[in-house]
Amino acid sequence: MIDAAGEALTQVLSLEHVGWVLFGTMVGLIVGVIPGLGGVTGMSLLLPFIFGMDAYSGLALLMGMAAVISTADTFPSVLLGVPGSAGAQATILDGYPLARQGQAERALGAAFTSSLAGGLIGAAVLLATLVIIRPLVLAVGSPELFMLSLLGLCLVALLTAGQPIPGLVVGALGLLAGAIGAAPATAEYRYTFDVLYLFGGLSIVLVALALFAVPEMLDLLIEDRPIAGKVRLLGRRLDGVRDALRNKFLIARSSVLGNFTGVVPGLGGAVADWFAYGMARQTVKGSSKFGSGDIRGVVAPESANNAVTAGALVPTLLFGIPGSPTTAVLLGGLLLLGVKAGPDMIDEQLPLTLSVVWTYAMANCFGAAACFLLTRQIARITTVPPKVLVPCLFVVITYAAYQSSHHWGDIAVLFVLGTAGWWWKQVGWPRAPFIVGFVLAEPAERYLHLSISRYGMDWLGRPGVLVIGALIVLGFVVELMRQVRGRREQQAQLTGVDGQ
Amino acid sequence: MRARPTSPLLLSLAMALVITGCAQDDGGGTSAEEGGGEASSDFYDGETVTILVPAAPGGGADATAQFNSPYINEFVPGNPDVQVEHDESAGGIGGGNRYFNEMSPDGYTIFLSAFTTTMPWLVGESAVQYDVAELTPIAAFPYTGMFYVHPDTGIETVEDLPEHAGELVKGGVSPISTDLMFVLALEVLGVREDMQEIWGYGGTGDTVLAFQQGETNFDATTNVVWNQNQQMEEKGEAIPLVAFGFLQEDGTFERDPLLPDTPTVDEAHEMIYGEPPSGPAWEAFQDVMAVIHVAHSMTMHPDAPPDAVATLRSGLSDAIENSDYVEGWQELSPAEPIYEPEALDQAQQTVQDIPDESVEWIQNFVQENYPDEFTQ
Repeated sequence: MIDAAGEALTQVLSLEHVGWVLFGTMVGLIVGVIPGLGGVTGMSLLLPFIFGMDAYSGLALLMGMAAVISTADTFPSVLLGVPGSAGAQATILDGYPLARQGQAERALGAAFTSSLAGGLIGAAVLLATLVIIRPLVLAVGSPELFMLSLLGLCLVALLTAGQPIPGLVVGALGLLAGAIGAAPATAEYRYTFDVLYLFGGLSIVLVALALFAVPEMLDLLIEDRPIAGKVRLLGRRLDGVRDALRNKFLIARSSVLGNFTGVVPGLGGAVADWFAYGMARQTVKGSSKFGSGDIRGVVAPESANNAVTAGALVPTLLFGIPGSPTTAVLLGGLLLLGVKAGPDMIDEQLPLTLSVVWTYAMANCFGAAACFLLTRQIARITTVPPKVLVPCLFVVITYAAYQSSHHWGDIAVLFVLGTAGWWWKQVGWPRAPFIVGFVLAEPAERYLHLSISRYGMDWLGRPGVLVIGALIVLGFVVELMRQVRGRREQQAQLTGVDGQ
Repeated sequence: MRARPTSPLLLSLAMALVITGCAQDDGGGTSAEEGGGEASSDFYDGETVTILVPAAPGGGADATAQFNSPYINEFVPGNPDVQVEHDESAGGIGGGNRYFNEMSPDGYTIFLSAFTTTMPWLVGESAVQYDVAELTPIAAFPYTGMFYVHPDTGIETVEDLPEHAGELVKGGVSPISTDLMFVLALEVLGVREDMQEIWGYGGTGDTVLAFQQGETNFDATTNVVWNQNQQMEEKGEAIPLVAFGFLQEDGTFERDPLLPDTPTVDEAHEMIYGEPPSGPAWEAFQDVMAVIHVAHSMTMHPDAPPDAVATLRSGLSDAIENSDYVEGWQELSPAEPIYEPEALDQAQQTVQDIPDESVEWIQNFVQENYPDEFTQ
């Protein structure tokens, strides 16, 4: 382990590697700051460019980007009251009021400090997890892996947009899209309609770009307004840093919570910040100001959302089951780099895995440093008019799409799926379940097939399967209760109006 | 952006010319030379070469591709960057179909022809849309197979195999893939029908994992994969039972030098039944083992530019003759790589020379025993 850590460190500290991390960090900062663009979009924009890179450099680029999204997405949350990405929604509750009270700089200072701490704690917990998880990895067979795939897909479908039915439908469509081409085990071709292009299946690069880059670009263009008006930075940043340091236990708690939320496939991303926010409100003293500008309402979600990606890496790297939409695309990236996610990642590939941990910590430092030093410049990105930004990005996307196989079919798939993605975005359907379903289609089918051929129907009775199955049921029950409660509140409001 | 080791280009160009010149004098008759290809440092200068592996990462084919990557970068004129891509769809057939029909034969993609694509082609699987006999070999890597078992099964030597066969669970990719040699060997040893076989793993690397996870307790794999997982034996988690070894010209098998104490299939048969194996299954097994010399090779599309083939061949022979290549390779598999054009042609010929009766017998065998895994 120590040898491997050393080997990883020398790889990571090479000039080339640091260069890729810096480049990834830069992309992550820009993508994170632009409202609506998050980790999945960033990942899909970078994916086409890792063709031909060695695994260390490719992962440096991708992880550098992914690590800082949740640092940078604080800008729009605090300054404009719109989330920079899905993981920064809870920050708005107290961050935006603070900004309106003329304390934007304080909120940002606290946010960056807790983001940095969250990222570093996340990396440390990830490292510890990798050490202790070893025996568990070999206890997980095909039935458990199938159930983990199912868990990931269900939770993403249930949670990403608060719309379970569309979520499940989109997830199922993703599974179907993932089945295009040759079957995993037997020599059968599915949904190919005798079109040669479809025999190889759809490329993850295209699917990610079409669903998470094209719709965002179109909407930016349609709205055609500067992403933000004039940005006003008031208040004292050092006060924010002091606030964060004063709440170091809250940071630690929230980070660890974020980390473990990330470990559960499908849970991470969109809910970790809410979990942390809720926990903070319930556990700190004098929480009455929460929601109207309590700095602790910024500290807690910001530490959690930087730790969550580190947690999501655990199932992604060790089992090939993505913990979040971002890591689903990352998994596609691993395949492009010729790296197979699985127990080998803590065995032969341990140096590579550790380089990911180092990269994660490093990128968090770079990201926080950049946010502190270049606050004004970065905040100004939010004011770039889409008319300038989008055409450039569109060229990049189209080029990147075509790059994946130099086939006209690439452009067609980009157009078809891009349109579908844009439509789903307009009607408020979640798109993340599609990408998770797409990535999980192959392993889920393979593991189900293996489970049945190995154990018959007995696989359903294995303890691991029962536990994960219970988690899935729990997910549905909680969601159902939330729906019922929501409807009841609505009804109560309606009757209230009638009564007047 | 590209990390390219600076090497004296002129020198390698000169060397390449000398080597291909020699090859042509030898009068080899491969398509590349007939097409008049010449090694040139321009062809791959600043380019990226992709090795397409029709199997999941972590198996023998992947190991071969990974092993060769740095040497291609260092020795092939022009020093191309190398990346390895995997396509294990349809048990590898998907990768072969894609290489043959979808990818541009521009010379920038090497196909790692493996058991996963050669065996389905051999048995006439209907999904196969490629022709192994048309591929131009660049270098071939002989490898072989072996069986190992978990000590908890109570099996200590191969003699215990028939008695415990009913308790054995074996994982595999597909009986018409790498596993063809394994199912034939198990048939020869008379234990195949008693074992539980599970098909559908992504590659030989995945079945090792399933063995380690306890999902299976018997595994058949290639010597390359075993050599990477030998620590299982040291930890007492696996006992090597049979090592197929290498077929000699006289039809006998020589033990695998890396497993000198483990019996070959015919020796195992003698240990169990007191007599050497015979019959159609044994003959089919021998024929299949004869093609292992080319079943695992780096190849080029038949329509690839002849210059590409000549450049790659010169680069690889340069690497094999002038570096630590062979020593490194022998840690994976003890048999030396084949890279001389004449030897490559000969190896390619063995695939076409498999007797029709043998192919027919194998086809009937898989059709009868594995109707779900084989479509004719």
